[in-house]
Formats: sequence, structure tokens, C-alpha cells
Amino acid sequence: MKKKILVIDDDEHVREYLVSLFSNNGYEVAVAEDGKQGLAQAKKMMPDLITLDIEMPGEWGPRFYHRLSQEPDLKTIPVIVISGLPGHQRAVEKAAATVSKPFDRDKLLKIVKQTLT
Amino acid sequence: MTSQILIIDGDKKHSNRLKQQLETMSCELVVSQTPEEAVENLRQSHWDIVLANPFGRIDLSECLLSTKKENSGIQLIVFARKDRLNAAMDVFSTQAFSYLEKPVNKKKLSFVLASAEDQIRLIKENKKYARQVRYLNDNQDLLNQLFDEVPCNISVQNKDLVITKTNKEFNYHFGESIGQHCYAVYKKRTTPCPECPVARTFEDGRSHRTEETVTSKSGQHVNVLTQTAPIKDKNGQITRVMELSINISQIRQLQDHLASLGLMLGSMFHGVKGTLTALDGGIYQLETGISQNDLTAVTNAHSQIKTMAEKIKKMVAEILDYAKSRELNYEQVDVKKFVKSVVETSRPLAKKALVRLKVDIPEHPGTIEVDAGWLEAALVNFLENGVEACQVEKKKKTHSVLLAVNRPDRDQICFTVSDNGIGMDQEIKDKLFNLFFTSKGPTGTGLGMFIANRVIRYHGGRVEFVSKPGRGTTFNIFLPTQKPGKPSEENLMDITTHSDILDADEYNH
Repeated sequence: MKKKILVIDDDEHVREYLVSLFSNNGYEVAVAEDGKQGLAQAKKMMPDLITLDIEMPGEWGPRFYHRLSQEPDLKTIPVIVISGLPGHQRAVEKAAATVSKPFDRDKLLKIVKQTLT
Repeated sequence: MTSQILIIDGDKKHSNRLKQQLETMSCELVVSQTPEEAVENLRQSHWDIVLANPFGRIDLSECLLSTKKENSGIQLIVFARKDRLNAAMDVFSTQAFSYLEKPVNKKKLSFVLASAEDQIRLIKENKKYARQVRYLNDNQDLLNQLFDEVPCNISVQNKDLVITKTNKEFNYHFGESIGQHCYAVYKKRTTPCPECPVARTFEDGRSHRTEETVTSKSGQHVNVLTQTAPIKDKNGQITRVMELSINISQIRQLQDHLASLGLMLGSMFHGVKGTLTALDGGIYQLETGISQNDLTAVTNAHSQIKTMAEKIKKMVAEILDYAKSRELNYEQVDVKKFVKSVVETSRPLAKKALVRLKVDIPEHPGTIEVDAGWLEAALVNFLENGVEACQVEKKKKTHSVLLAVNRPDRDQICFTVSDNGIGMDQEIKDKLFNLFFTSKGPTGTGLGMFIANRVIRYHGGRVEFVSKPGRGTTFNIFLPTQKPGKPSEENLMDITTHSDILDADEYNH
């Protein structure tokens, strides 16, 4: 069965990129534009992994993470922060990994694979 | 006896007798039997005791008195015939240590000499002590001067954190503070600071260093580096702790300046990074399209790469112009709908925390031109901070957060977010909008208020707030109603009376 990844990023092009990258590598992918949508989507699809941008209008990354960690069913889902914000490594301290934009595709896929196993 | 004694006596027989007697007492002595010898010997200053009959062939009273005046340490013992003794007393008065009747009684002489020697010893000791006191006074003056003139603030605190001593620099910056609590003087607090370095030094006897923001007597916030040192008594018990602080505001300002410069560049490059990621995405799509021989995918990817290349070109131009890399997407927003959306977003958290969310909005608040997405995120952050401030406040029975909307004038709107939560002390207030500062422990990121404030400032607005520990906090968020730089247009705004304060649930339905 395919592992499910939820991509949360306000940049449409980045979302598209991550969707094709993950789906071409055998994952099932869903997207959300901000934290609010992300939480609704997470509840719906119960992803195995979430990639999260930090600076987003509507509801930004750390706020989403805080909400996610309050949900008993969702709080164990690993989150990989993918952001270009300086200092984003400290934004979500319990993130499974942090990846800086622009990222190395192979490295990201490796991190995703490692996180999911 | 080790005293050096000069005998002045013109009566040879008597003086010889005195000499014999004193030699048996192992005194070092010289006898002057003529006035000339006497004058010559008196000129030497090493005598401890002068045993003299002033009324010989020549009256030596004046000479003896001037010698005594010059060297007050000499003990003068005057002897004279019984009928001249009163006259001697009249002349020498208290300048003589004792008066003896001639012929001098052997026993009496030994007593008087013993007393004179005691007196000499006491005088010498007194002189020694006086020298030591002078030395101590000089040293104390030096230490006081050092304490006062050292170019940093020094205060000494007792176990109750009450200031017992301060130096000049401290008084200059914080005023006369002896008898006051250090936390009241330094931070205008009513309770000791958490992680107080002075208290820690009292506990472990070690020196501790912290960085603090303190408030001077003129109300200026000053960044200081503090270091403590224990002051111990003879038994090694710490009775007081010295706290030394150095003003590092200029260094901090420079650091802040560099940080904001870095942040500005970071913010610009953040946009660039996102675009580069999207460009990378385009390349990936292109590669995938080519490998799968999918012309549509290739065309789409080509178009995306072209768009991204254009965007990067524009961004680089903006960076070179020191312009903002992130443009706000301004749109006309209906304030009522906007507030509704803000409240809807914040309501789940408030409900969970059992905090009432209230809304106070004019009947016709009109429209504003803002980036709705960003502004909503910022306002939600203020509201949720209010809810969280209520959540940690345990004394009050009910908690509420109010979102009020006001139009102070046609060109301005004010969103007020007010809570009756825990409130903020001076330290939190000072750092509130700092990047990565949080008062919420591990759950806080230190990003929310920083970004919220940045969003308001991007809009050309400002944030003002008042807060009292235990009472709550009120934020007033002022925003221009139009995109800054745009000429003011006639706005059909109806700024009339406020409706009653409604519960958020009521407002939304």
C-alpha cells in the first residue's frame, strides 16, 4: 500500500513540484495551502508524513504544528519542515527533519524514506 | 630598662649618686654636670627621659621647655630642692612628667622612671596604631574611590535582595536605591526576577553571569551584562552579594542592527529560495516530461521555468534596490466579513480553553485595503495569544478575549485585542516582538508575535499595547485603511455607534 504524504506550502509552484516528485517516487500525495487547510486535510487523509512550510498566510507552520500536536490521532505523524525562512530549524523543534529551500531532490527523498521507515 | 636617659644636675655629688643608682637599674645614661654640656646634649634628639634640675648655675628652664616642645615624646622629670619645687611646677606645669624633691629618693625615682617608661611605651604604641589607622584610612579612601569611580554599576545586596551599598555610576543611572529591592530598582518589578543571579550566588557561593534588560531612572531600557560575587564574613558565610552590571546597549543595538539587516536580507532571500525551489520543480517536470516523451508536460514545465526565471530577475532587481522581496496582495476587504473569518479561525482554541471570545464592532465598519490572508494570520495570532494568556491565568473565575474594531479617523482603523489573562511583566514586554522570543516555554516558537508585528508594519501600521501582570493585556493595532502611498479616496464609511458587545457565537450566527 502506498505511503501518504501531505504537502503544506503556500507557493503553488512548490506544491506542484513536491506533488510530482513524491508521486513519481511512489507516494500518494495531497496538498494544502496553509495550516488551517492542512489540519482539515490531515484529519481526512491521515497521512504517514507531512511536509510543512513555515511562513504562510492564513495559518503559519508553527501554529499548524501546535494544533497538530493537540490532536491525539494526528500528533504522532512525522513532520518535515521545508522552508527558506532563516532560522527555521528552531521554528518547529520537534520536527522529524528540517530541509532548506531550495533543496536537493535526492536528499529530500532520502530523508522522506528514512522518516517513513 | 632600655630607655636612654639624660641627667642634668650641676650638683656633682648628687648627680653621681643618681648615676650609680640608675646604672644598677641598667639604664643607658649620660650625665651633664655643666649647663654647656646640658645644652649640647639636649640638642641630640634620642633621649627618652630627661631627668633634670633646671635651677643650677644657669637656669635651664627655657632650654628644657623648648626641647620638650620640639620632641614631645621626651619624658621630662624635674627635680629641685624642696623650696624650689613649687617654682619648678609653675614653670613646667604639665610639660613635666613628674616632680621630685632633691635629694631624690631612690625608691620614688625607680617608681617614677617605671611610670615614665610605661608612658613612653604607650606613646610608641599609640603612634604605631595611628600610623596603621592612617594606612587603613588611606586604603579605605582608595577602595571607596575605586568602588565609586569604576565605570560600571555596582550594588551590594543582602539575602532579602535589599540593596545595602551602591556606587556612583549605579546612583547616576538608577538613583539612590539603598534600602530598596534590587528587582524593584532594576526592573520595576514587585517580585524577585526568575533565575536571579544574586539569589543563585547566595545558594551556591559562585559567581553568575546573566544578560538583562533593565530600566533606568529615566525610564530608558538598558541592556546590561551582570556578574555577581559573594561577600563572606570571617566564618566563610555569605552575608552579601555584589552585583556588577555593564551597559551593553550599544553592542546590542549594533547586534540588533546587524540582525535586522540580516533578517531583511534573509527575508529577501526567503523569497528567492522559494522561487529557486519552484524553478527546480520546473526543471524536474521538464526532465520527467522529456523522459516520458510527454509534450504537454514539457510545455508546462517550460512555461513554469520561464515564469520563475522572470520572477528571479525581478527579485534580484528588487534586492539591488533594497526593496521588499515579498509584496502584499492588497484587496478591498469588508471589515465585518474579515472579522468574522478571524473569529472563526480563533474560536476552536478559545472554546477548548473555556475562554469567551467577544466582538465589539460598529454597525457599518466599511472596507479596508489590506492583504487579507496575512492580516488575518496576524490578528488570529494576537487573539490566540490572548486566549493562551487566559489559559495560564488561574485566579480569575472567567476569562474573555475581546476583539473590538474602531475607526479613529477616516484613514485609520484600529483593531483592539484585549484579554484578562496573566499579563506581561516588563521583561516580556521588552522582548515581545523579538524574533524567537517566547514566554510560553517549549510550546512557543517565538515567531508568532514577530511575524504578526512585521505584517502590521508591512501594511504601514503600528502596534501599541498596555499590559499589567495579573490584570491582562490590550493590544491596539492601527492600520491605514488604504494601501500606503495611495491617495485617499472618498470612503463611504459609517462610523456610528457601536453595537452591544456580542459573544463570538452570537456574532457569527
